[in-house]
Amino acid sequence: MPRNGRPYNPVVTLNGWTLPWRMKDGWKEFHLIAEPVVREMAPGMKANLWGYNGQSPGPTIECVEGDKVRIFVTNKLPEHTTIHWHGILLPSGMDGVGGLSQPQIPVGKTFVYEFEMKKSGTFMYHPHADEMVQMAMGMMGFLVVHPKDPNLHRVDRDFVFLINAYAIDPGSRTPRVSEMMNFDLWSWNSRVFPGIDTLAVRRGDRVRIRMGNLTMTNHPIHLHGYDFEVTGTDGGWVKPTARWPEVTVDIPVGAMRAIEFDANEPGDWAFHCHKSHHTMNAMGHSVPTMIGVDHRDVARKIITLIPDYMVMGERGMADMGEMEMPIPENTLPMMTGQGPFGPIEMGGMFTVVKVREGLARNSYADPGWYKHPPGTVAYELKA
Amino acid sequence: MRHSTTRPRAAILAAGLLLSGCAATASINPSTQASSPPVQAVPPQLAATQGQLSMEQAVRMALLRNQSLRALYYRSTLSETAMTDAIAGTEGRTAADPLDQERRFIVAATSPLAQPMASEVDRRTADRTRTLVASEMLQTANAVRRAWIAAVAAAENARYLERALMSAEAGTELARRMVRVGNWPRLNELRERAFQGEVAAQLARARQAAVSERETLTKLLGLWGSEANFALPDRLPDLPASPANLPNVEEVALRQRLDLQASRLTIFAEAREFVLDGYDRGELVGYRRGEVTLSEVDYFGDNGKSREIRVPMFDRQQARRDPKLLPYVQSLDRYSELAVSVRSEAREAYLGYRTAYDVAKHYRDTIIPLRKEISEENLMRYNGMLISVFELLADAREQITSVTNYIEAQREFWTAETDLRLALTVGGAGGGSGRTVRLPGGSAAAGH
Repeated sequence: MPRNGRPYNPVVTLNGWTLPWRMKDGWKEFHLIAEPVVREMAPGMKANLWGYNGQSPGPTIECVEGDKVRIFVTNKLPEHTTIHWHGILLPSGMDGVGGLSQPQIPVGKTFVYEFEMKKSGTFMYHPHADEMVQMAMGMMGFLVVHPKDPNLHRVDRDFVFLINAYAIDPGSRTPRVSEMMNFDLWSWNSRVFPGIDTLAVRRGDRVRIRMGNLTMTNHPIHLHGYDFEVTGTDGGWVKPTARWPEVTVDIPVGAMRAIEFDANEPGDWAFHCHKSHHTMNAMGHSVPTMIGVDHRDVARKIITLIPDYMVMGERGMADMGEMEMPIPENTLPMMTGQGPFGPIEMGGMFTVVKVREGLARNSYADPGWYKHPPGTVAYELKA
Repeated sequence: MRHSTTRPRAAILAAGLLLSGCAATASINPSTQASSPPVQAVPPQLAATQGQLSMEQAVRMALLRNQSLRALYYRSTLSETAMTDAIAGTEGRTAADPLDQERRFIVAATSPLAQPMASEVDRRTADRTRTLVASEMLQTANAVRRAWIAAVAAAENARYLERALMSAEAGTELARRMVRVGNWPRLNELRERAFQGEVAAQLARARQAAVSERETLTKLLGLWGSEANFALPDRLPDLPASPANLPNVEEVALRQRLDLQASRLTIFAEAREFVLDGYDRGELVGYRRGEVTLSEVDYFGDNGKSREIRVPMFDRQQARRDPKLLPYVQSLDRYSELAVSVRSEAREAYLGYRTAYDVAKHYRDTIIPLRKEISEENLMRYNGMLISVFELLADAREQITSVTNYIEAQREFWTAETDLRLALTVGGAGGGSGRTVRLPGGSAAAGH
């Protein structure tokens, strides 16, 4: 529960945090600072991004239906910016479209947005000034408006994350901002597997996961082990009679989806985008299929091109046969991750929902690998 | 890797040429020539079959054994023994300046031609003979160095292309496997095979070039038979740590150039013959316009000490009217013209040398390391499955160009180096044999 203002049940932002506020004369005041940031997308890879308050995506803003909010936005970017409050019903002049609804916020200046949260729901914020570049650089954040009645739509665990994508050439650290389709890092909250938090859930909890898509393509998000219902969009809550069961929810571009389920099945359940190349990290898109073609010996011959006085490659080629092969700096393996039974061979938009008996109510720490009851793991047929 | 079934015919052809080239050399037996020296006259350190033949060893060997030089020695009454003695006397003495070491050798080798006790006229004639012989030796040394550099570089190039062909074969083999399992269309394999074919053709040419360059060297060395199987180093010498710094290159050339020295000898002789005699007889009073000072530096003298000789200068109009003076004035004119050329050649050769050094160093210190780094980066991208082995092959093809260019840059540097030596001593880079040498005394001899 928050220390001041209206009570609500806070959300948990994967790899993120909620923006603190102060109450002033009945207004809930937030301060967002737009600035360049360095984001570790997974251990071993850092990206030069733009974000808010030191991270990309920016901190989650949580408030309550009926709150009057005042949001200061300071621009520490090298170019002007604005913030658009995606899905919020507000006066036209607070909508944050540079040039249309307000002047751009110049470099070094602070603008103030003031509006009342008229309804609860799941929203986001992002720039509407040089929008393509600023979003390609990671500027976005989650915005949750809780119902006035904390018991309305109440769940036990409420996870939120934004879906984003970056085009960062292997060996570099800054996204290509003019990219249209060939993104190679498919991320949740600017993190990729194995860098995405797991979703620790106590068995029996009612769980909500709210997801917003600010990439340039749709994402069919799939949860293993459960069926769930779509209970909300950025348009509002879905009436119970209008909900329908799903195991995969397709999240359109520029949209929010909230899903809910009762976590009755313990286990480690994969949770990922079902576009299989979105569960890969940086990969070569034009690498030919080598299935069935033994080519290690051939690659080895290429080093003979370099006379010995160039001291080239022998080390590198010898490394090829070993487990750890050097790859370009600041680059994540295309597929990686180690599970209890071996390599998970995933990347990008992949994490695990970990449902366990008897987790503490406020514990979101990774409970480790699931201990399967005897006789419940697929086994090798012995002749 | 499975052995390639499309082994390039061109490569086989090249190998065949190499073999037949050896056979042809072996079948010629010049031992019937009367002028062939007995083999035991060769000092053991010059035996062609011992170890790898360095550039300077090759030069010594050629000075001793080159057929046209030997003919010249014979005509100028230099004995084989004088040569071997000169070699023995200078061999093993390390000199900071190889140019100076070479000069000392040539001075020693031609010293029997000096006749300090003879009459002035005889001495001048002997000096001119000695100058011509030394010039020929220097020309031959330059030709040998050029041939040695070309032979080593060509062999290095051919060996490099052998590796390139092996890699191209690897690409073809991989493409064949890709097509066989259905991962690639046939077109891609055809492209790989076309590339392999190009490399094979390049290799055939490179092998032939290596054979030709080596034969040029063998000829200049005067070798045949089993001695023609001498071994050369695998690659050109490393670049020196720094290039020679010759801010006064023109002065060096003016001091050392043998053709200038020969021209001076002519002037002095003519001054004596036409001018001083005329003075003595009182014929030339009133013609005289002044004197010019020729700074004479004797190439053969001790440490190149110079002495200044003043010779008279005449009004050209007056001199033309006196046929006795004309040759002398014309000699002076030729001397001026030659000095201008010598200065120009020295500047050009020195600039060429410095440029060649910078270019070779640029390849060594910048381009090749860059290529190496690119290869390493590519390898890491290959490891990360970001690129395929075919991108590695494409990169390797770019390396072929860079490494070939590097070998060429080294060859150009060492060639420029020997050409600079020549420009500072005798001029006429790239010659050395195949010219007619006229000895003082009228006997013309075909060089080569």
